Amino acid sequence: MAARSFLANTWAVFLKEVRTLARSPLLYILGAVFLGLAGYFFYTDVLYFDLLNQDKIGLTQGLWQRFFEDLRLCVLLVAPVLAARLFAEERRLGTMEMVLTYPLTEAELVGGKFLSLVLLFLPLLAATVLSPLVLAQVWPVDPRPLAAAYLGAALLGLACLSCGTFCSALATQQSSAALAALGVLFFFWFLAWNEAAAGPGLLGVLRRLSLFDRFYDFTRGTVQSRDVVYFLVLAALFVLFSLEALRWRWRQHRGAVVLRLLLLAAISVGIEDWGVRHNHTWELVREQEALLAPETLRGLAAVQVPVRLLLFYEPGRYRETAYLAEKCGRASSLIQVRLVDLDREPALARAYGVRAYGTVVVEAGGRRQVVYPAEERLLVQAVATVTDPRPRLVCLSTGHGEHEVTTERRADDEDPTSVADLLERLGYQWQEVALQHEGGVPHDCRLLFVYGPAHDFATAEVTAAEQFLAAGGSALLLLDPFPLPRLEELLGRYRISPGGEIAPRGAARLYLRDRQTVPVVDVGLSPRGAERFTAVLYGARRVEYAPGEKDRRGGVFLGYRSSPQGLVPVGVAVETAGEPEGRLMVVGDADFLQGVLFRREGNRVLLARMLHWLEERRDRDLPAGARYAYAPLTVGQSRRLFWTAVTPPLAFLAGGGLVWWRRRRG
Amino acid sequence: LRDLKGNILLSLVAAGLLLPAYTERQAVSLTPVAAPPAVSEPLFPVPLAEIDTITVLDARGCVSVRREVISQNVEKLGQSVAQARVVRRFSPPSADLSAYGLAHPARQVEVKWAHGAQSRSAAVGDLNPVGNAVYARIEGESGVLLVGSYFLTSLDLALQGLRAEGGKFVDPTCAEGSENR
Repeated sequence: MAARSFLANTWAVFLKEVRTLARSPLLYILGAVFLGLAGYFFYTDVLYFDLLNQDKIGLTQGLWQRFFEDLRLCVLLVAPVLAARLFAEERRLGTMEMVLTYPLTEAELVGGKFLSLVLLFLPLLAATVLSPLVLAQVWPVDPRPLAAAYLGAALLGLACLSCGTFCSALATQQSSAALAALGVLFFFWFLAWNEAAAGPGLLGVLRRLSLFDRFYDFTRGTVQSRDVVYFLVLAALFVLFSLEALRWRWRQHRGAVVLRLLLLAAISVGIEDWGVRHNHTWELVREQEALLAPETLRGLAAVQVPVRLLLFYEPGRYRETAYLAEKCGRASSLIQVRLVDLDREPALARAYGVRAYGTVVVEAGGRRQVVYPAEERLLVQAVATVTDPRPRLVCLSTGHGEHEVTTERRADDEDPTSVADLLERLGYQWQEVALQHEGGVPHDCRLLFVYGPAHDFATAEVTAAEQFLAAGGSALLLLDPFPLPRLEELLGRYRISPGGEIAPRGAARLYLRDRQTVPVVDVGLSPRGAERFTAVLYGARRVEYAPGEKDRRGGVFLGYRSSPQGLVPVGVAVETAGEPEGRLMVVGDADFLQGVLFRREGNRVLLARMLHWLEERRDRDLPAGARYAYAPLTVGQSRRLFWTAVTPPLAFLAGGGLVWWRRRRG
Repeated sequence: LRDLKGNILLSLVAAGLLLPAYTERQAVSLTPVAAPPAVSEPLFPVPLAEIDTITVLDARGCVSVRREVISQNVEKLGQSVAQARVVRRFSPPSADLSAYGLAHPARQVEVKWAHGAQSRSAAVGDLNPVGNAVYARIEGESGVLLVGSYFLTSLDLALQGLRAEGGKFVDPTCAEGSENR
């Protein structure tokens, strides 16, 4: 009976409070501020992600983490202000005493008011989901890390609202309640920021109290039950304190109240500690996806004989090594991976001469290579060496103003720093060749690479290239828009004709980028024939292909998708007639492997895929990389995201205006 | 009275929550097994001051020292034994321990304490392939231990010193006893 009465009274307070808040312009102003800030942060964070080419780190780390760290600012600012009016407003209007004379307990009053706040805050937060939903139409969005981050934001909001409620129960002015709540919350936020100022013991305590530290894991797509418990306990504690704050004025035995508050705090500490001791973690994001670069996966996928990898792992790094082993094993069914505990199997380690944790032994066909450290490039080179002892030599033509293949950047960068570096990581050797002086393509070259010539080839060089192709050689031509009549004549014999420059127009051009920047899609090399964004070219030209009867196989594999023109061909691949057949690939751009564009993972993957197709004599396509390259935003897409960010706060303001107008009329 | 009752109830709840937290925390800090792997455990769980006898058998014979004997090298041997830390413990993939040098261990160390009532004997085998730890096995236990390699260095240095001091620490009978065991 008592419980039913409690619920009925709480419900009545809740309804009354929702009605009051819904009629108040404050809700609409705060809602518009919240959604406006959230939309602004979302839009700018997306642009930041887009412009910095953060393919590698992915959306969770590159976008969601940043966005939710910004969103928590909106929550920290808006939630306490929204809550501050609950009791302070009643006091300001002089209705507090009247409310307290109602046949209601303080618990029913606080419970009803707090629930009304929660009900109004959660839809506000939910409205921000609209932006990720629209983004999901542009880029693939994994909903799991987003769900974790939204759970964190909702719990943070709950804690902020309860803190605001408590401050409101103490204060007589709404502004002072809001300021006090903001002060408390910012204190809790920055508690553990100066790590140098506290010893390890104190720092541990501060970190457990810090809102920032507790919220951080949610933004990374990780849910820890201890953090959920912490936020719920904090919210409950502030609500209970609010209750005691209302009772305080007419309490006779205030010592008992102080004791009660201390006991409540102690209980909260106990529950929080229980949460820490019985913690469960849910990793909702697969950040380890970034462990193996697509180039490495392709290098491993190219093996044609059984390969055995022995990974001698360090005891404390089992998980990482196991993941590396799994990825290596998945790259090709011919790769067999075994994890070896170096300390537990010393005889095996000694037999292979392994003396360091993290060493990898690569074996195939009686050949063996010991790789240390287990860097991806060294691993792929070792696999290439043991599976095929012949040098995989790429000959780069010189003497026509071709692009440089090396840079002076650090060689120990995580990513390849130049075309030469990338070739080495893919297991190739390379050498520069002056075709005119050498009298043709050297016989040990597997592949001729013509990398953006600015001047035309001499007739003898064209003949040398043609002979090389006729003898079963492969060639890759990356052509910038320079007039190259003799080279184009050679391509004409394979029914390939380079054309003029492509200039994206209207909503299809890229946002905040040069008009010459062209996103291209892979239409021929992907395994399931699925068209997907591949790379970004600069100043690309059309490359047409007219199939003929003599050609065994050929077609457009790379193109720019434009709504008025359809697919504009940019890359053509053909198998030349002859026994053995040669392979030729032509792309209407060479700049995509230069400077900033080379840092795009998709661009490097495109080169790797082309090299593999040219080198392999198999009628199968290579598997696609595990990760997705994020296409740069077009003007149309960025407009759509902008209006998605702007519409909710405007709608809220319009709602507020309507309420104000109705109140004036009514 | 209502406040009092409420506060008593809250006190009980608080005590019920905080006491297990406290006892669990104490238990964690006292039990070395529950400690994270980074925190190593001693090879011989006895403080230096409580050691009565240390006996070491290696290829050059047997050395036995008692705590009462005042000698710098005895002190060194004691410190070497007391400071030896187990960095890892694992079960071997087979019963054959020759890969660890424990089938015929190069060194056997026995420590006695509590007036000879308690003792622990450890066989010390080869260095691991990396060379940062040495394999060991406690008599009566099935697992293989990895002890920081400085143990081997400090042990050999102390033994060298003790042997240089003359024959007073060399005990030919313990060699027979150890071999029989």
